Amino acid sequence: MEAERVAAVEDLFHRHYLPLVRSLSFIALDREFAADAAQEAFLQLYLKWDRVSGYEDPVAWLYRVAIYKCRDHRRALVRAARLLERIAGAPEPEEHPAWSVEYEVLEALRTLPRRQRVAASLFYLADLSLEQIAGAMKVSEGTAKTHLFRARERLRKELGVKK
Amino acid sequence: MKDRRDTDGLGARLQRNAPDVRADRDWADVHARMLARSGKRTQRRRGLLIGWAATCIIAALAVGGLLALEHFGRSDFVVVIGDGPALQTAAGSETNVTTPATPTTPTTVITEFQVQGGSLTDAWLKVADGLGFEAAHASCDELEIDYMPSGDLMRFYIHGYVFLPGESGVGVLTVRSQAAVSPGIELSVTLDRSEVSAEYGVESQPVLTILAALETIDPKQMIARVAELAAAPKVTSPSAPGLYRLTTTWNLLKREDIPPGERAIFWDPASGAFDELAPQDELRRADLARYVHAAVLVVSQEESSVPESSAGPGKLASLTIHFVLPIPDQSSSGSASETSSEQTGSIAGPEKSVTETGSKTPTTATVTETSEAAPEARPSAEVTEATISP
Repeated sequence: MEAERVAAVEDLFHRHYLPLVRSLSFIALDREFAADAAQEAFLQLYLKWDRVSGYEDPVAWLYRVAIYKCRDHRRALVRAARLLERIAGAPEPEEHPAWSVEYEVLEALRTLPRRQRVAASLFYLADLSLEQIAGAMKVSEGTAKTHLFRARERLRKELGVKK
Repeated sequence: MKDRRDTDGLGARLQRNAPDVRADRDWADVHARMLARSGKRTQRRRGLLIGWAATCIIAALAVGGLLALEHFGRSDFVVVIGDGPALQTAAGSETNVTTPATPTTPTTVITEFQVQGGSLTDAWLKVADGLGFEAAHASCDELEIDYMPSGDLMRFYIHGYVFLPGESGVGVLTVRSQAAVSPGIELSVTLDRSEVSAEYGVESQPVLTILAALETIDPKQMIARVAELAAAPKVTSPSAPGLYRLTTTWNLLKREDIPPGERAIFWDPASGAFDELAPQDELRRADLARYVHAAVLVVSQEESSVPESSAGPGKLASLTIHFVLPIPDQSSSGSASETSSEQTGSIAGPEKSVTETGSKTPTTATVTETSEAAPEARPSAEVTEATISP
């Protein structure tokens, strides 16, 4: 029973860990934290496998948990920055991706609103379907499509990509 | 990346900028964390199980304690009411009132109210009914419960009202009581009647105030008290040998516990006779409880000996305990006397009485030995009463 659970989680891990961390890296703009959030999501998947395995799409659940972790991390960073700013007058620290990324791409990602960034990351880096993206973002499919459309338009504009 | 997604190369550019990920190394980390969490989860489940078990045990103990409190404190107790015409009338008219065939003096009527279960308020209503009053309402507005250090004695003070429909309205029957019960013995209640005070503004009505003095007797203490009185120097003189003292433990009474020359005598309510602890006999707890219960049953209030001014709430005015004295073998020249009379003075033949006066409550301790015939024609034992108060 326990071995089956570990085997099932391991199988999902090898299939989804890499795209998950990559997309989370673009969402959080922090590669290390993206890896932590992805691992924590897999840990939750393992602990709640009895329930999650019965879901229609456990992968969407996995991505949603990981995205929530990123969101919590982002909020914690903002709170800490505000506190620092209030105490020491220091400016809000910028995100450091901690991996080799083109400056132009990084700036383009930074200009994206968070939801658009999530939609684009899941679409281009995790190769999720619109339905899965909507499930991971816990929005309707139409809303996910709108976010993705606007993100692509903005990225094309920022990066000078022509249709 | 599927072609349909990346017709303009945007996806490819983003993919080129994605970080490298070493899934195999990270899986080792995740697997280790999974194992650690699994162990914690097992521990947590075990902790929860232990917690639930502890909670269940505590709940069971609490429920048991409440049930015990209910049993010993509020149900199945006996109300013993003092004398008086009203009481006698009430005793004869109530189906739940019995007058036990106990040796009584002419001035003492022992009435037993059996109140099985119910609340204390119910008990007071029953008392009012037994007294011949049609109680409209009863309430118990004060209830204090204390545990004695020994743990086996519970003392409580009750102050309640029984509202009575009087000739010109509703009267108040005030019941103040102080009682103690201990496991194995029923609660005894003695009531005293006196005139109602103007405290409740009903002085124009024929209302009785009942000062209930619920004697709260640890059986052992009660008998020891009786024995203490009985063993007073005047009584234990050679002319009245054989008075007993009970210094036994609660659980087991052995013959050797009785000092030489003294006797342990109990009144058996079942037979109405007095038993004497024979040599080599043992009285186990159940037997002792039965005898102690008998002793409580013959407790009564002697109304005439209670000054009204001092019969305060919750104080025992007087307590009469009947017991048997052995008749001395040597001849005596005393004349017969009424058992109801109190005599104070030194020993004069078979008639003896000891009176003690306390400071708090009307304290009267009387030990009277009565004989109605010449020594050689006397029975082997007769009733003697001791009136004591706490």
